[in-house]
Amino acid sequence: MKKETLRQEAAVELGGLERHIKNLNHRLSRSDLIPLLQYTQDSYGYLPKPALEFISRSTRIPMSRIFGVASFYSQFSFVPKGKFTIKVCVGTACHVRGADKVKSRIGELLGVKDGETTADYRFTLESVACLGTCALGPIVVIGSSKKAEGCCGGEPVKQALSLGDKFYGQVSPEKVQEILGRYTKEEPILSGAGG
Amino acid sequence: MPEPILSRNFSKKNAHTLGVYIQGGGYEALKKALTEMKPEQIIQEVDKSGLKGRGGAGFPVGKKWSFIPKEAPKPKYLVINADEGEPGTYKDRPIMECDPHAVVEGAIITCFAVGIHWAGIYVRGEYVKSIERLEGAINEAYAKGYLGKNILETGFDLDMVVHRGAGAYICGEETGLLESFEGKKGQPRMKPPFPAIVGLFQGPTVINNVESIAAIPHIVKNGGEWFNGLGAPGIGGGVKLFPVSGHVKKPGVYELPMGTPLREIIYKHAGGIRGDKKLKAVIPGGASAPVLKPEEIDVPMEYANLAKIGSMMGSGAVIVMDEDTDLVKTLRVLMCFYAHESCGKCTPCREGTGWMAKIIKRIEKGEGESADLDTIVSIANGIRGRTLCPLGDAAVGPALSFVTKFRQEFEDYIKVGAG
Repeated sequence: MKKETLRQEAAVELGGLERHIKNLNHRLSRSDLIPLLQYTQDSYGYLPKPALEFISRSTRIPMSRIFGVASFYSQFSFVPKGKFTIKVCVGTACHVRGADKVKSRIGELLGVKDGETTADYRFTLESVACLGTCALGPIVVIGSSKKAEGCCGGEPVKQALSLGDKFYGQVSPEKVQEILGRYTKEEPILSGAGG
Repeated sequence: MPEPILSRNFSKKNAHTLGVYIQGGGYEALKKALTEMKPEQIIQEVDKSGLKGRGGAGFPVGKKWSFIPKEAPKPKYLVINADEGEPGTYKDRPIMECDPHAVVEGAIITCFAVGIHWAGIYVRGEYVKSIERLEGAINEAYAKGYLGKNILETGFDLDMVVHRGAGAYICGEETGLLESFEGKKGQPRMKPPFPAIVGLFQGPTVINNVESIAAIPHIVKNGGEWFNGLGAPGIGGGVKLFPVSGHVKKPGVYELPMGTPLREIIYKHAGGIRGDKKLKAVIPGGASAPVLKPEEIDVPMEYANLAKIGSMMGSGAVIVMDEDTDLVKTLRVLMCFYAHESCGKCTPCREGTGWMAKIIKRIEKGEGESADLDTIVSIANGIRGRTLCPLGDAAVGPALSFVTKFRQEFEDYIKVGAG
């Protein structure tokens, strides 16, 4: 179970969400809640409180229930995530092939623990259980979100689904640095750490 | 090797498009079902096929359909369970990515047989490509007149939608999935009433796994007896996809007759153990299935045979572990998974999975006590059979089997600490 709270923050741009709801073109019901939360998560990279309040007003679902649902599912986050989310599969099949070592190597290089985001909001490290490609284990998936750069507001991205998830199969601790290097083109944030 | 059935489109180029699917004989079963067969006949054929639910519970599909009341005051629904989250299981994903039209065709035939006009498929949020492919297939089917109003001029109407899951293992449980579909936390419901009577939005609901639904067109096209005959002699039940992972030379998804011996799957099809090491343990049916020792692997992979030796068929996902595998660490991973995924509704599961995870972590750190193993057994027995859904039992399966079958390894950890 996740222990999370909503961030208190200033207004965010809600125009995109408003248009999205208008385009759905039907009377909102309770079963629209999860798709709306997914849209919000994809647009902002997390669930900003003002957006949830807007959903609450539009669907007439109380905030307490929205919070209950949003905190139940692992896809949703109440804090901004890094530009790239690194998911390391630690499911049984990947575990027996050495996923633990891969995860700790990534954490060591980035200086973050499971679930944390680097200070520059470039990477978030997460462990997940089984991504359904067990033949290729250990698996690392690096997903990029255009919006999720620790910022909020602005126009939501067009695509409804998270952008460009990239799968890396049969990852060994030795390969980690090279893979991460592909995502750190500007500044060498990996230098000095580990080796 | 006989002609593959469920996996026939896995390596075919563009098989996910309508044109290629039709070229390969696609949607012929739909025409046959809607224009030549009566709904009852379809259910009879599925009954004869011996097809059992491929999600894990193994309930006969034809029987499940026949539980749906003919006349109901509320609309009836078909929900396809594509929340493939059982660790080690990756058989539904290739079906949805490479053969999404088989799922759509199977869904239309199912709805026609049971008298349903709305079908929803609940796909794991992580399966982005599966969602795209299914949405593409559904759009193509609408454009071709296989979905929508008056399908094939028969007066039968059906709408189909894709629902993207939001990340919770518990939503693979059928009533948790229904709750999630309705926009709530995916916490399982009390049964009875079973979903066949009170399901989605209170209406009678059929819930089938992707692999079950994808088998339906083949059963309709070639007959139930034909499908049943594809299973191992004396066992029947057709063919099944077996995802094999872990320390084997050729991990992958293998389509094999129901009842194929586990030894044959590991040593013949998956090429044996990596580096020709010795086998230590096998999980035969996804992470929830009790583990097997090397001397038990002559068991035919089939529901009743696996149950007889105290394990289960589950999703048929085989996870192979060689002699170098640290079973204490493996069980820790499993227990942390169940503790994390327990939805928190039933106390025995919520508390029990957490305690089992804590104890096994302590053992792993070398701080275990001699009574710890008995405590795990006692907690497991306190969970088993005392929860609304099978997640509690699923955690008990590996916990009890690891600790009892490989007790020595755990005791060594307690005595001398980690390796």
